[in-house]
Amino acid sequence: MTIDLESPIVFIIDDDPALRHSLKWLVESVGLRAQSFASGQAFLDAYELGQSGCLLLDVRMPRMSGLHLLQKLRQAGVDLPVIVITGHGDVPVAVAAMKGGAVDFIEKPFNEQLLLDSVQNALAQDHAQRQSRIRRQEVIKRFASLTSREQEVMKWVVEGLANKDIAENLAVSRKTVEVHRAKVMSKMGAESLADLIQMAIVVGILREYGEIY
Amino acid sequence: MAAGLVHEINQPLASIINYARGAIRRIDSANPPSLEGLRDSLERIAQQAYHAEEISNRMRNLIKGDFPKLPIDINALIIDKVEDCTPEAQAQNLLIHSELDLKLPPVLGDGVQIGQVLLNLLGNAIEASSQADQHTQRVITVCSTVRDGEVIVQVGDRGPGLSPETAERIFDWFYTTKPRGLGVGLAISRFIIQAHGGKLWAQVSPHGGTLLSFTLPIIESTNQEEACP
Repeated sequence: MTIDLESPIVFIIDDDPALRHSLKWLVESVGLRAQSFASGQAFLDAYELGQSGCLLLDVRMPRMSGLHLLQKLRQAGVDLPVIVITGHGDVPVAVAAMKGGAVDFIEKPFNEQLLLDSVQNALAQDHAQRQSRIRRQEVIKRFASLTSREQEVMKWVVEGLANKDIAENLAVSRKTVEVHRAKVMSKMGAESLADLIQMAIVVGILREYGEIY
Repeated sequence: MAAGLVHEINQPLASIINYARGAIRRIDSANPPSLEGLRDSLERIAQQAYHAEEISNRMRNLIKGDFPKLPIDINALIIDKVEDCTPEAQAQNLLIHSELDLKLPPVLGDGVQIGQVLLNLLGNAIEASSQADQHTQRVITVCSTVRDGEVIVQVGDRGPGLSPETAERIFDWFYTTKPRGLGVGLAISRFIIQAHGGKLWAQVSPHGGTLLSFTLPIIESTNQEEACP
């Protein structure tokens, strides 16, 4: 399996050979890429961390094996959104699946439109998570590229201090603070103070209003 | 949980729907595939339909009493099915406690069917336990004994229990107390047990909750005097 961040893969795990093959056929009918596996272990052996997509997990008898897999996936660092397919009326399993971190559950027999919609939602969620992670890493990288003095100025700025006060705190001229401040804005790629504040929260130097990311 | 047979027949039916819907979507798409590209899905639809037919034949054979009759080690079957249900029980913080009579004689029948009955009873017990109030002990008991030339298996839960009226109705076809249950699990289970010459019934458990019991005649005991001297 080659890692392809652009093209997500719908990973289908089902121990019934006909069901997993037919699910793959159905998923591929809307132009999505799909791969199927007979067991969670087979999937884990083949999956390369970082590949985007989502998981379609059929929870068959013995009933909770699929839910065990949910735990195992998380332990292995797989953070793909998971859709669980449950038996008709199997509410306890559905509840356990959602508690276990599944993003959705589909009851068999399912309407294929609902299933495909759920898959699209899961893929969109995976994409958004990845984008947000990339943005976060980028912000952290930029922050690390600041000099320690610039980092200090950034902390004061996002805490709402005026240049005059920052200059006083640092025992430097206002002009110097202005230069540092301009540097911070450009190095961080911030277009406004609001932008910079968002980044400060990501970096963790501003926590008062809780974690946004 | 519907009984195993119903679940089993749903598998090929679900595959057939997937193949058919996948084919229709391809035909309706901007780039419809060649006939050759659809052939495989049609072939698989046919295969799955045959498979569904096989399962329905098995159900019919069961109705006619025409099923494999081999010695079954009920205790081994219980241990196996309890193991299958253990992850789900654990997820609900439930203990499945087994009290098995180690001198249990074998019974004659189809182990797959009896296994499905056990799974069904255990599944129901787990579900009933999830409706118990918070102070109830989180335990399901499974026991096996011999009495009067029959093996008796009992599955008890400490769920909300049954009223005397529902105790019999739960075996009716399509009767269900679950929001979206099919209402066939216990009906099929009773059917399977009766086809094996046994009985399946429900009563209020001494600990509250429901006690489901079934009997199966033991092999040597066509004559009851012999089994109980």
